[in-house]
Amino acid sequence: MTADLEARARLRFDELERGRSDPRFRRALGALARAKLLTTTLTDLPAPRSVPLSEMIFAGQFEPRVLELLPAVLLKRSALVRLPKKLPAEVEAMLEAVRHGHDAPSFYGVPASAYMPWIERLGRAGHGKAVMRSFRLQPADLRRLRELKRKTGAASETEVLREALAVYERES
Amino acid sequence: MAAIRPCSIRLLGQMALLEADLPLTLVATHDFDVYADFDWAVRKEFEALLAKRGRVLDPLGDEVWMPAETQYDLVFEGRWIRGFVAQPDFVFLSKAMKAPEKNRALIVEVLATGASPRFLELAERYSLDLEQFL
Repeated sequence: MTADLEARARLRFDELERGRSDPRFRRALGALARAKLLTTTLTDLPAPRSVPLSEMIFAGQFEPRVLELLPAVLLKRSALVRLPKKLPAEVEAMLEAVRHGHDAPSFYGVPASAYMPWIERLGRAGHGKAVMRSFRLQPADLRRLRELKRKTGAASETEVLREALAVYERES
Repeated sequence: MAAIRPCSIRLLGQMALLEADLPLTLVATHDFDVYADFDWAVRKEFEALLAKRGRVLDPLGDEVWMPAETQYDLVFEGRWIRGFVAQPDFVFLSKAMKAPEKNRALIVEVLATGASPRFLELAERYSLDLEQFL
């Protein structure tokens, strides 16, 4: 590596460090760490129960993972963020799209494909209510289900089906 | 229950860097990216162990790109299961190649604090433009 590259990297690093030592950044990270949504090597972070939305967005400029989590936080752990009276247009557009099942827009540069999985994951914390469905299966299908349950050590045939769906989803 | 087939679990991504205990500023979400050839029963047990620690197995972990020459450290050797952690230089390369914007801070810090000759060699081999991070 040229000395020049390293010197320029140090300048950029100093800028980053200034941002990361800003109390707004530290409060936002601390709140997310306290809520067990992030792990960090940063130490002595404050651990507020909530922070203003503007601080989360500020922190996201230096740590994109904050912006990746923020939509899920706004929708599923809203007590973590204090909202202003008027939401920024970008936040409003994202919330509107997700709540109404429309195509989600990018969020402060984070594509929907990066933040949508967190909305689902945080939502699963309490596990959704299971519902009954009836399917007509052939005896051969039932045998296959029983055999798969035995072979895999799954807790139930429902679990076999759930895992099969996950595999199907992953591979399709 | 069927017999357990021997398998390996290779930890990748940000969690691999945290495990390496590097003197870097790291921030990680709680998902685990792994390459693994485990059976379902082992996978379920692994997921349960992660859940106890507030972690989740990323279902798309096996889609993470790692360079073919990635070296892994053995960190656990059980009767059926072996656990490995990807060495940091290969994780840095993976992150810089596949998500440069998201990992800009990390790569800047790596360069500013003195990147290893191996990382720089990998960057050259994979035509990674380090200038884009500065």
